[in-house]
Amino acid sequence: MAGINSALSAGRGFIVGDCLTLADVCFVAELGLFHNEKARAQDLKKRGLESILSEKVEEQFPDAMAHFAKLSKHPAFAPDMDPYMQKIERATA
Amino acid sequence: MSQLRIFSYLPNPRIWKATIVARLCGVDIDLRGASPKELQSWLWDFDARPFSAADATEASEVSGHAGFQGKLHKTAAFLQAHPFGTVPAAFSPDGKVGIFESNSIMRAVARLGDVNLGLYGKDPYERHGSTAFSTQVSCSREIHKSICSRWPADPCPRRVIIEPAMHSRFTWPG
Repeated sequence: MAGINSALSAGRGFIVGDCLTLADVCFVAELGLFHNEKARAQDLKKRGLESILSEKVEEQFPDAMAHFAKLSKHPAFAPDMDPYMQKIERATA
Repeated sequence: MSQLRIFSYLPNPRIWKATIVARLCGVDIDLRGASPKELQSWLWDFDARPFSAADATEASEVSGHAGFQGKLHKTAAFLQAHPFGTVPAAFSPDGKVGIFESNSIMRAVARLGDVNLGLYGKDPYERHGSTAFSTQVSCSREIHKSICSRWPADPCPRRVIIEPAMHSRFTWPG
């Protein structure tokens, strides 16, 4: 996450170069998978482990999280991301 | 006929790599699958489907691993195309060529489409930059998964107990 955040902090708007590449697609998919953790936050806490997607994540990796949020609205990304993220939200509500 | 068939447990965010790129590049994908639990009783084949008694002669029982428990039903043709026997499993339209690992499947979709869209990056330097990032983010997830102390419901057999201090190395920025 630190590396992705650092790449994005250059302000080009994308991870590599100045347009969407496979790196952005891959980042979104892998971070999407990490959201599984959210539904298991209590289990992690019980074991003294901090979730990667804790409340502090926006503060720790603002550019990476903003990139994820921005791409979630992209018409090629939204059909996959919307139902999955909504399901995670429901599971953590 | 679709340009690529993919068989996987669903939902699976790693499949997004292929489906997102397919939308961007106008590639027609045939995605088949079911929940991990249901996949235990599917026929693992190019023509993947819920397993029935009629399929018994076609498939051999193979022990599941990496998240799957018990016996799985994999055909010889499936194992020919996918020697590691894993999902997600992509196939050429004739079912003969197997492509495994989600990043490789993603790249296959990009190559089937219009690569001029620049998804690989606009020159050889960016091309390798995008590949390196893709590998890096995928590996991070795998490292995190395999070192994490697992919760009881997790079927991962490679269970390792990790101290909170070590876990924080993978979660702390920098």
